[in-house]
Amino acid sequence: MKKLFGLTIAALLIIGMVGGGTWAYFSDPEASTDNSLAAGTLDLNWDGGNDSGVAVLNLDTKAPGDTGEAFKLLKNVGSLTGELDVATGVVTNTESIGATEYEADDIGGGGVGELGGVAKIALWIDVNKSGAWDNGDINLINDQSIVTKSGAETLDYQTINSYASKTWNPSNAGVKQMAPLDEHRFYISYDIPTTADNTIQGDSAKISFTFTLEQPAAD
Amino acid sequence: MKKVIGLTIAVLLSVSMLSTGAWAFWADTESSANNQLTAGTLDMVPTTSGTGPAGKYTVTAGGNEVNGKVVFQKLLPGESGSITWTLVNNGSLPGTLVISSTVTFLENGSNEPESAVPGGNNRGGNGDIDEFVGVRAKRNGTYFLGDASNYVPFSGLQTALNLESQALAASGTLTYVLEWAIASDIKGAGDDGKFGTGDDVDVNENIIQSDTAEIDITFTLNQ
Repeated sequence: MKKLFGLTIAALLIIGMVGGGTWAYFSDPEASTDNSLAAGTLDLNWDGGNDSGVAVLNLDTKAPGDTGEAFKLLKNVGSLTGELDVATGVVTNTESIGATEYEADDIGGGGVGELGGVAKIALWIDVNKSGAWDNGDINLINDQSIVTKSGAETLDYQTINSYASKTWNPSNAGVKQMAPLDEHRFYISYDIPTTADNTIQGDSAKISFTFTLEQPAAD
Repeated sequence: MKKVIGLTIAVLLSVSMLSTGAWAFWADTESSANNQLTAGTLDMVPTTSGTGPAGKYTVTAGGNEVNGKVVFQKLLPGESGSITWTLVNNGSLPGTLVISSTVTFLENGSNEPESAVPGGNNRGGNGDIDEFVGVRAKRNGTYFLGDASNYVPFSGLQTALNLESQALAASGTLTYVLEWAIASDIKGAGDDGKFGTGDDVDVNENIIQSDTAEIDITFTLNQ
């Protein structure tokens, strides 16, 4: 009887193992999902676009005594705060090719104009986009320093030529920190002195700017 | 009279043996009670933590059957961080830990600086973190991906994790640390597959702008 009982149990165990077809061990799974790394974005728009190269101003038929200003917008359209650096390229002075009495004077060499050494400009950032030089606005000086208006400071006008190949990146901290969606106006104010003489008639002067928004402490 | 008594006793004994049918030998009984089988326990408790640039990451510690994760956002060249998974065997049985992971890389569109990268953006069609962001991983302080001096491309993480099979004693702990770093001067790892060596390949830093990597891991403790 005992032997029969033992065989029955053994048979049941074998049937259980074979018939079930599965053999589950202990197991404890734990998940860690959705760990993620996302790079931010740093993107500066000029005049509402990228790489447009649009000039701030393009003036002609100006004369001694003329003054004015023009601006374009700078906007941080990225997700990160950046530092704004500004740089200029060479100044190109071109002599007038006209045939009136005072054009093509060849002073300073053939084809070289004199306007850049006479006409004055002031470069500044209208931080609050008020359209006026007021507190918090930033003046880019031709010695590569900046002045932030906090009182009686006035805009500094210097000849166009004096701004050639300059960089404004004071203390490697940038001219201005720009948070995401910050937008400012970059102004060029000009003044052709009344003391200018006929040598600038028909001449032109060209200067280019490079605006760089870089991550903080990049330099 | 004596004979009568002797016969009487013999008769009575004979009657007693026949009528009860019982005959007790010497015996000593001992018991063995409360024999039992108790199944062991296999229970792993994970905890997730992390480090990273201030204000740019969130940690969900998680726990038993509760997802733990670390999310890093708005990352820049020059930044680094880590995720630590601490796995404790709270059961009474030793087990073997295995890992199943999926690491996904995405481009998420290209802005102007990213599109202007010389040599092209979105190489491989899955963003560029896989190729240009470094990772290394260690188990209980020993690197099994990368080493103390060098990070390796993010693309190697999934395979390295999925090869893991480690003993975990009852009440024991396994700690996995994933370290990542975006170089200030982003480069490709070159032929040796390591960052920070002589054959690294220059690339424009903007190449990883807005790109993402996602890591999904299942840790399983088997008996």
